[in-house]
Amino acid sequence: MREIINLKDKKALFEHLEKMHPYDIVEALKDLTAAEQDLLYSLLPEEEIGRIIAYMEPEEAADVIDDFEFEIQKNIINALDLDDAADIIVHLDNEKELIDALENEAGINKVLTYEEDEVGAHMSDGYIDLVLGMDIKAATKKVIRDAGEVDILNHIFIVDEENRFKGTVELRDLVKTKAPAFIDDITELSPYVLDTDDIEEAVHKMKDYGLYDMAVVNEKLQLIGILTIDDAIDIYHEEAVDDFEKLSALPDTSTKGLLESAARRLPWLLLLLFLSMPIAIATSRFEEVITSVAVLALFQPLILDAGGDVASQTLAVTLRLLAKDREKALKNGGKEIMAGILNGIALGIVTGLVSYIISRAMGVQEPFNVSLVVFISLTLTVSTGPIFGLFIPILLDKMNIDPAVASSPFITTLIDITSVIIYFGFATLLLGVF
Amino acid sequence: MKELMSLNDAQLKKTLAKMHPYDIAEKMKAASKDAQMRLITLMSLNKTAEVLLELPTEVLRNFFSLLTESQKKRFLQEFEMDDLKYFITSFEDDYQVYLISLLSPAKQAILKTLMSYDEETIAAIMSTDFVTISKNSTIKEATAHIINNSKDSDFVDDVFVINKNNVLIGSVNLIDLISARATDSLDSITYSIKNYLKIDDSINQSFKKFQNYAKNVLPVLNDEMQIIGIVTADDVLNVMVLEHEEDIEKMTGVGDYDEASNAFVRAYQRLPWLLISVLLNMVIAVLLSVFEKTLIEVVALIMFQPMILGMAGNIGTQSIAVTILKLNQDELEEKKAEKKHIGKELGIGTLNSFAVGLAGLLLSYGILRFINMGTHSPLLLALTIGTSLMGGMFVSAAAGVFIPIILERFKVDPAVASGPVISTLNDLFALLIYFGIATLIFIL
Repeated sequence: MREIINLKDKKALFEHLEKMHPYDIVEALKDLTAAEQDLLYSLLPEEEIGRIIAYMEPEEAADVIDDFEFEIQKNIINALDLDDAADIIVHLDNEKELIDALENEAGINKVLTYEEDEVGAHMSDGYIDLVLGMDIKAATKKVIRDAGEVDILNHIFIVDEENRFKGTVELRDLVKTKAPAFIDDITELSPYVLDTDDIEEAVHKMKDYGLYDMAVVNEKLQLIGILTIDDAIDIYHEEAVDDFEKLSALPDTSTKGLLESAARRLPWLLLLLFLSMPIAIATSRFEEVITSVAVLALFQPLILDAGGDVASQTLAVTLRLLAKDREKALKNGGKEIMAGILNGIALGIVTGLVSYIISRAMGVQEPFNVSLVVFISLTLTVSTGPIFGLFIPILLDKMNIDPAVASSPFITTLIDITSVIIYFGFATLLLGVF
Repeated sequence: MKELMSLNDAQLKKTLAKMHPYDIAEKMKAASKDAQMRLITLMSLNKTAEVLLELPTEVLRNFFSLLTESQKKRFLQEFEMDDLKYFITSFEDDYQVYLISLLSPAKQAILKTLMSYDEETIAAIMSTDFVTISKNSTIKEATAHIINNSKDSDFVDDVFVINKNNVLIGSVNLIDLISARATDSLDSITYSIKNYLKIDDSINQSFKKFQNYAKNVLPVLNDEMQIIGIVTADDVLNVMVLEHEEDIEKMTGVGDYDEASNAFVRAYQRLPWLLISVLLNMVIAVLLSVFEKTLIEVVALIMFQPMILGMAGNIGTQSIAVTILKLNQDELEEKKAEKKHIGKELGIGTLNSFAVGLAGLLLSYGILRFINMGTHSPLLLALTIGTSLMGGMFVSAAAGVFIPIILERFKVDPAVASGPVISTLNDLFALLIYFGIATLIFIL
């Protein structure tokens, strides 16, 4: 590639790149010097540059075209898919003028008004639509004529005269159907999403229906864009990594340096450290019982652990449902709480028995009462754990805070406080130190 | 469902034909046996096959067992190869043999090959429903071939061009094929293919290629560069979702979670994990009873016991999660990358244990100045707490890096590292350090 660039042979370069996938071009560019890269862009038609930068991170793409002349910038952005264009344009220095000059000014402005977690921010305009009532032959002609405008064609989107979404036609069905016929005959009902719907829910919908592309409509049910599966895969991947990080109180892992990574994780740890201070203070209130029955200290970790474990289980389930379908999360909660109570009783009985045996063997005074305290406290903490795991994320979601910040370390620490009070509280009552 | 059932047969048939299989399946889940059968009899065979695949396995099996043998045969014929494999492998071994015997010899052969692939490689999720055309075909022949010879289940948006040795030359978009003039050569609309999957690529490698290349389909090639299957983006998304949910389930010990299962099933599935955790904690309690004297003497230690355990667990969770994330994305394949990751995580562990240890020392001193249990000096207690916090956190952070890597090397799923055994071991170390240091300072 370097040779062709240095030859400044426009035609040869274009032919060489045209056969390459843009992702591979982006990778190959990394081996070139800045000067060589500039030379390369100067040799390429604007559409080809658009094709390449669509595969870069938006910031990098913006860096590439920031230095170009206004006219060229405009043509490159015009060649991009709507969602890619919107992502890149916000990083450009002359964002405002450029938007005003674009072919699809209204479209870009519309996409930019959406929040990052709304479907609208991720929709593409790379689709072909047909109006109901069209005859198959005319439809095929129109599809062939417009095909150049879209990268991947799987479904054709069908609308009525008022642009309301009516269904989809598979390209293969269009090809296989013989005239005389109307597209109405081969139109199938298909799922769609609203532009203001949650993007993660939309991705799950695409997955459930096994779609390569899905219609996006506005509140009047008019077709305004589509979601494509490659975007869905990207979004899901990010969501998955995000979930994982948040569930373990781990901020963004994509940073490079050791010091920076350490510094990013530290605030979480310090916050959790702070949160655990009330545990110490609560514990000090029970000095008498702890002094007289020191063995209680030995059983404390198991009660705290078990409470935290069940809460994290409910948390994981609730977070997953919240990403898919909000309504279900709350309905599902009843079962979670029931399951917590059942496990609380089961664990309480087992642990009560074992702790009795251990206390006897260690020659503790009142072994029965000690194991009774363990039984009651464990049953109660395990039964209440799911309530935290359920309501904290739902509450955060209602307050429009990402529910995943309620990571399990966070909830575990909160539960530790209540568990300590339950445990030593019952110990004080039952072991009779008044 | 009620609305559907109120329609007469002809209307219902028409409505079902227009509905998406997933929606029909959702409606069927809640329906009565009679209503289910009525829907099934009114749907075309290939639609029914698609609908059934969306249903829970038990319902699917139950329905399938009601069919006559010839119906079963026709049914199995309708499945795409990858779905067929999924369907058949969901049954017990001897029933699988029976089902396979119902297939045509050609399908049997394909299925046997599909079933022989390693679960971890891309071949396990690939489909064999693709269309190839010879590179010497004319545009007209190619179009006719697709229209007349492709099955409904075939993926035809991209058609693969092969030479006479079945070696993959490139691919043609269906739309380009339709748009082309009869006089154009096939070659002029064929894209050379540089983005393909190899038969032994891991599933993660394949996911990366899909993400990078933003394609709806990628071909799977063997060593002779012959196309043996395809992987479609919708399957990739499906498997991604499944794998991610599995990871989270393993991390939190939720078990094989299903929305529909009731409280008893859930409690039963999760109980083992919890029970192991509790019993291991009991063992720790017994081991640590050697420190009973220290505990009685320095009763204030118990105030900060949850904090030390919690913080060790938290930093451990962070390093386990990063390591599993990297392992899952195949980023630690090379020795060098692995070494670098271990070094970096140990560095982070050291720095943050030190910082949090220091903060813990100051905070606990502040608290103990005002609220103390027993008569020991707040400064000495805070020193004990701070150093134990540091030690416990560092050990846990280190375990969080090494254990998943070691598990992976022994071919055990690294997600196990976040399970009860490891976290209880971390507790044990943290408490040994805590009570050990306290004994040194206050008792000896």
